[in-house]
Amino acid sequence: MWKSKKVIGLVIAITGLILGGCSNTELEERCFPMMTAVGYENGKITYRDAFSKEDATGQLGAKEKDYTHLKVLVLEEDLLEQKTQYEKMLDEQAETEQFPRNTYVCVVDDIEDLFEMEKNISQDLGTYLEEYLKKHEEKKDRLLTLGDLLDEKENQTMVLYLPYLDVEENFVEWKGYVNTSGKSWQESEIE
Amino acid sequence: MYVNNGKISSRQTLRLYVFDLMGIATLLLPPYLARLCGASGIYAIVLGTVAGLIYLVYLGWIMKKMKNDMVSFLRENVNVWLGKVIFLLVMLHSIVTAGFCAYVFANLMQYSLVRDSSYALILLIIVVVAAYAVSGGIESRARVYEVMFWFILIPYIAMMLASVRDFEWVYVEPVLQWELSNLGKGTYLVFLLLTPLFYSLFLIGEKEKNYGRNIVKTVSVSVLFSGAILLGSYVLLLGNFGEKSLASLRFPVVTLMSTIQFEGNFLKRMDALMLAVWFFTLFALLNLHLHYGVRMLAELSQNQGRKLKWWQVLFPTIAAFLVAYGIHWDSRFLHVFLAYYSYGAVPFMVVVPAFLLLVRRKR
Repeated sequence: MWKSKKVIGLVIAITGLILGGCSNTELEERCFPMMTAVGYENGKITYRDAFSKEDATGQLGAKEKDYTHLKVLVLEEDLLEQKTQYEKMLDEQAETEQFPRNTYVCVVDDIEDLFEMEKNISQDLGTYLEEYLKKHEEKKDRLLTLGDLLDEKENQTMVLYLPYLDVEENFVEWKGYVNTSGKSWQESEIE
Repeated sequence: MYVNNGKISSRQTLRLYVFDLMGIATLLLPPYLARLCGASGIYAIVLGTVAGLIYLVYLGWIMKKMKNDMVSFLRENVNVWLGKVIFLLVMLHSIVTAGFCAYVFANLMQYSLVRDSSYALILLIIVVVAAYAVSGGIESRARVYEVMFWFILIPYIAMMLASVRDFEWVYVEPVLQWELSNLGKGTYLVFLLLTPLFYSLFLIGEKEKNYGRNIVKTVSVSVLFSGAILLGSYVLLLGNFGEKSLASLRFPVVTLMSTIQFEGNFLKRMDALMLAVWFFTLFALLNLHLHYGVRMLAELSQNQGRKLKWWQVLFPTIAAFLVAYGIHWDSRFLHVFLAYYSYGAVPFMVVVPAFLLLVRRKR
């Protein structure tokens, strides 16, 4: 019995090595977007992040995107105004589970302003926005995550208010809240 | 040296049963209960737990009458061929259920950790490790789980308490709306996951006047403890996801673990670590079933307490692997398994012990 036990132990150890860990793609072949912007353009849902832009060699998306470290999902206001497209995007996320459920969600009018601002900050946009949102969380309502949006799409029991951000003179400003049907309120009106 | 006599202490029994009952229940029950009963699934859990306790009292009465564990009783007090049929049926049930546990375990592992890896390979590793654990005997597994108990439960309870932060009362409010037929189905579903209680008949108790009294007392505590954990987990899952969202998720309790955030930016990305809770508990349940599959095969081949032979471990392991892979390969096998469990296994576990007593009396 002892000999067979040793053989079993060896088989387990060797077969365990074949499993691919977190992913079969090497770390060097992956990139980790910290922020992704979802918009609606020319009748299509668009996803943009820091790695969507062309790199120095002019290549687009050469590395596999790994969203497990995603911190903030920025929704463009245009998408919220297209309720069907917004729900389609949520359905896609529920199906693929591409983005983590605990990713914070906020809304902006124009994502280009944020990308422009990124050039003048010392950290990546995702970390910057996460820190900004958390810093302001105490003063306002609990921050909402992608999970909250997915749950509420199913449950239909509450109206959710997402932070509405704007960029002014290279600084992010919390302008107010937008509910998921795309209508915006100033902070004072909600309270 | 430790003694290998098939006996485990009351504390080990209690801890093993908590793992056997709470793991799969917290993992699989919430979405089904949410679909069937919604917020009133809370009552189904309470009623299911009460049904489990009643079943246990019934088993206690059987043990008292048998004055022995099931294996010894079948060997000594029942017709040889009837005994063999019972051993065969219990063996088949144990192997099929072990296969289902391995299927769930491999699914969870692939879904949450190694999505790009081969399902067959994951499954193979799981059943081989289980076979290795089973060949070590119930005592060695009981010792491991006795030590691991609070290491597993304290982080789980802490994480569940941390999820209170995102709890929404509005999701739990429909608790007063319930439908009797769905509540009945929900209760039966909870009871289905308490069927490992049947194996308490096989535990070797102290030879006292009221045989099995200690076993029943110990296992009752496990049932109550697991019921309380399941109830708490369900309420928190309901309050975090809401009824409909909870019903749509595959492994909601694992999803919840991945979304919990602690104040002060510490203990981040705990979800992978927390998976250990279900890896350990599902492994315990898989081992429980495989253990009885192996043991019944040993009885059928008249091993009579001697050391297990290699093929007595190998064949049930291969069979469990094939069952698990079959369920994964074609979901119709899953429906067959669920139908068998609902209409075959439960009546068997309730009726057969009493039937055996009747047969003994006639001799």
